[in-house]
Amino acid sequence: MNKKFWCTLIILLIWFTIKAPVYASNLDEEIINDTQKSFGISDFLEETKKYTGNFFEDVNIEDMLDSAITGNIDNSTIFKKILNLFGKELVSSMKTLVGILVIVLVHSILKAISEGFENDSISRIIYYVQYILIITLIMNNFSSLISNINNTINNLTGFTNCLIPLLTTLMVYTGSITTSSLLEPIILFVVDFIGNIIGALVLPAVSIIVALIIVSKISDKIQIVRLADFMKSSIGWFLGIILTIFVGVISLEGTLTSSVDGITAKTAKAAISSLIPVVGKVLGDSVDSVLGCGIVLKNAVGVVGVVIIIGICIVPIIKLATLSILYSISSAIIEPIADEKIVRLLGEFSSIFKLLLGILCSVSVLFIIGITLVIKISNSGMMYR
Amino acid sequence: MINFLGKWIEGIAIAVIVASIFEMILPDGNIKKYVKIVLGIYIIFSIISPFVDRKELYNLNISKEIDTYSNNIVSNETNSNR
Repeated sequence: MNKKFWCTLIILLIWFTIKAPVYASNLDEEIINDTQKSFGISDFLEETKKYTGNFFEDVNIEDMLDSAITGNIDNSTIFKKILNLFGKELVSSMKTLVGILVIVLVHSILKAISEGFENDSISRIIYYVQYILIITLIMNNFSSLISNINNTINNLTGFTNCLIPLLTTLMVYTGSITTSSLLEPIILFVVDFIGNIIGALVLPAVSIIVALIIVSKISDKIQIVRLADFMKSSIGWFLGIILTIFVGVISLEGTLTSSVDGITAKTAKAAISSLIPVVGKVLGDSVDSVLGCGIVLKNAVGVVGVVIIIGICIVPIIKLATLSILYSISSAIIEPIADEKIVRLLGEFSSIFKLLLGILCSVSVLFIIGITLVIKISNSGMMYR
Repeated sequence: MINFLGKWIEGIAIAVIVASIFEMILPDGNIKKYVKIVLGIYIIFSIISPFVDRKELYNLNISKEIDTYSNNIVSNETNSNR
């Protein structure tokens, strides 16, 4: 009796005094990290650095992905960078406009002097000299602006071509099989189509419009502005139609296929948990939690993709917006003293910059809406569980 | 395609510039109106010149053009896939 008592006492003492260290691990983080490694997301992030240019030089994209996984999105650094860019562009466009203002001032003085002469052609020659100088100033950076926009659209298409296969793989992994097989060809087709059409048709059309506008301001009596207006309105219509068709097709097909996916997955899970005898229920629930982590990762990748798209587009958008505002302000300032053709010239340049801004904005909105819709559709397929 | 558009716009721009120069240096008088009519016809003609080539206009069959264009694209793709 004594021996038993002492044995149990010693065993209890040993049990309570010797403590082994115990580590508890966060199961969600492990699953997400493993999924990240197996999908090669860090490779994807490395490759996107090719396309993003220098807007994201000091922003770490991996950190953004991690913070998006946990649900916080840090906006303040991006806002500050946008404000910096705005200030820089404002300063650099002011130079051109101050030059134009000085030229118009000198011309109005010379015109007032030369009105006393009898010969009409002197004033006309003064006008042509002024006109040539102003056009030279404006055209100095116009062609670099157009090639900048072309580069941006190419970067956008390249980046989306990288992003969509990764998103599709994640979507298939989390169970939206019908949705991804239906949507991926549509999205890739539209992305490539828009990139090619804008480079081959729309931007040359904008250059043609600029040429027509410049040429028709030489003389009062000979004008071909209506052709330029027709081309402007047709570009606007064309972009609007493509945007509408794209958004409509994706939302319609997405709502149809997401319910199919949800019901399929639910039936499969019910079959597994009821038919497999011992481990069926545990198997079904653990698959659910793994897929939930997959959905968190997919959403994070989508959010990072949208932020990168905004970052690619933001530099030319800000430049175009400042140029458009400055030109229309200067057209209003110049109106009392300058020749009417110059006022109209500056106003029409402002509307061309607005057209280019509209092209860029609608392309980026197209991509952002496409990615967001794709994520939301595959999320709603998961809601059935 | 881009070459074609470039040549077209070059034609229009040259027409308008030449017409403006003439309009400037012509002396006022009876003849000015008629010269302006002729210059206007020159400008109109340079704008619609791609559509006025007579051989193309008579033999223009749009569906055949689309067929040959898409056949070209398909044969280019099969050649580049091999």
